[in-house]
Amino acid sequence: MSSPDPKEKKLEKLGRALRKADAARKMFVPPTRDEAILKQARAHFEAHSREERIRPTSIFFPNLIRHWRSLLGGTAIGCIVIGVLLFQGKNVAPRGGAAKFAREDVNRDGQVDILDAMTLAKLAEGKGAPDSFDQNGDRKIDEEDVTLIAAAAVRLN
Amino acid sequence: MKARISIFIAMLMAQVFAMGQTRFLAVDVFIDPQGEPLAAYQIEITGEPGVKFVGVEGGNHPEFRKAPFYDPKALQGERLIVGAFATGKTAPLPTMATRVMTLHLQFRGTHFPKLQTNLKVAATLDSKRIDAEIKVTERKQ
Repeated sequence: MSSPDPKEKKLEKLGRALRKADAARKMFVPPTRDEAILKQARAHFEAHSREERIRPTSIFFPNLIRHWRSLLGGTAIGCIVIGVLLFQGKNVAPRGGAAKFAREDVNRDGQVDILDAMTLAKLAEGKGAPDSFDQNGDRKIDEEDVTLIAAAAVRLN
Repeated sequence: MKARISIFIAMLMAQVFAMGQTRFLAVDVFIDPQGEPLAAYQIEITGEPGVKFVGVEGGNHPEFRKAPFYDPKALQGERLIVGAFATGKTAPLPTMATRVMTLHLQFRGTHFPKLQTNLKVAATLDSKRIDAEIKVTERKQ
């Protein structure tokens, strides 16, 4: 045995409510008026069910699908904010790819001092200095680069 | 009695005049690397208020004869950072106390000005840190 259609049940309920209201007011309302109201209600339900057929809803998250545009926009804004926060304050990698150290920090001990100049002087003698230690951008490691590092080491803040 | 008072007043005035007079002084800076060969040093020197650094000269060891590196902006100021390194090519590196530089100071007064020294770096040629000592003395003419 199949259960009656919920829309029909609602319409029946509406009809009963209209009749009850008429009885309570003790005034005559022509049945044609009730029929007109019921007809409008039926038309409304049909239009609503048609709309639901066109726009499928999820059983679990019906509101998620209905408001997908807002959700998509919110997610995009969230991604942008997280990206900005993640990249904020990060050092730009100098030439050679070392991200944490200053270009003058030749021995990579986290501070620029006279030992960096001495280390570069020794590297320059041995011709084994990588291009990333080129301080003045002339594509060669020589005394000028060493002097620049020494000057940076003794510079007053 | 009058003569004694006059002499006392004259001496007092001379003293006051000398205290307010600008003086120039050369001080030698020595580093004792305690037996290790000194190849590089970096020192921060701060003078008492009123002391100005007006010149920096090299030392007497062949490897430190050139004036050390310093910021020219530090001249006429009370704080100076100096640094130098050697490669050991011209002479063996010093292992005993050696004069690494001479500083020229300008100040007012008759006393020897206080200089605070902070040895930031002292190292051998292979960048091994040395527990060295600094000594600052007035240069005898």
